[in-house]
Amino acid sequence: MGDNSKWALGLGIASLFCCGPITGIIGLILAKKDMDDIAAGRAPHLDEGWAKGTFYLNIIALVLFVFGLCVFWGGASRFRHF
Amino acid sequence: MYTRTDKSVAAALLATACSVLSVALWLKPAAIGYGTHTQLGLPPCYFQLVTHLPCPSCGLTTCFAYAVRFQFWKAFLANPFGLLAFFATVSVIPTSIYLLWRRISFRRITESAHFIKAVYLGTACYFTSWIFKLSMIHFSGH
Repeated sequence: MGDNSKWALGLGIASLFCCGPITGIIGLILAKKDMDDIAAGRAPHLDEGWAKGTFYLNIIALVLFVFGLCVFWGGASRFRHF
Repeated sequence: MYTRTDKSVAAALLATACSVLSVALWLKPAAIGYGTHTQLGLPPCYFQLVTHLPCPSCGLTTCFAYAVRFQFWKAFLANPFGLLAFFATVSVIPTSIYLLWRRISFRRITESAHFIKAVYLGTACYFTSWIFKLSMIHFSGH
């Protein structure tokens, strides 16, 4: 597992639990960097699964953040009807 | 080779930076140092609701709202990392104009070794700023 992927994993988990989109975006950049390095042959191919996994983890964190906002806005607008 | 994507990315960066700074100027900074983003209809920080402690991002919008008004000390107290992010956002404007003008790909920046170092440094500053805020709360007692 590449160094960038390790950090991306930690940042993705942090994004899921407390930090919102900021660490998610940073994690996405780091995971993408590892994926590009693997594709260019600068990093071992064995790490590809980890790099992809952390990349998708950060995407999930960002999607969940947007989903949370939609739920909040949906709930808030429904609240106004009462 | 300079592609249409390069042009779009540079234009999107310019538009995003200008929008962020305009919104920050439009917002009224919250006196308590966080929660300015609720003026945009965004939810309050759930981390703070649950733990009664600020999350690393708490105070970022307030920091930007102070910084565009040149109140840098208040901005620093709201979120020290936010001040760094503010100057980074300001520097995006001339950089993206330069990229568009000289037809340089954004990949020259993102694919350099310094870019990843800057990302790591930014992440370190982000969490250091959080520790600073937590210790400020701890020592001030509120």
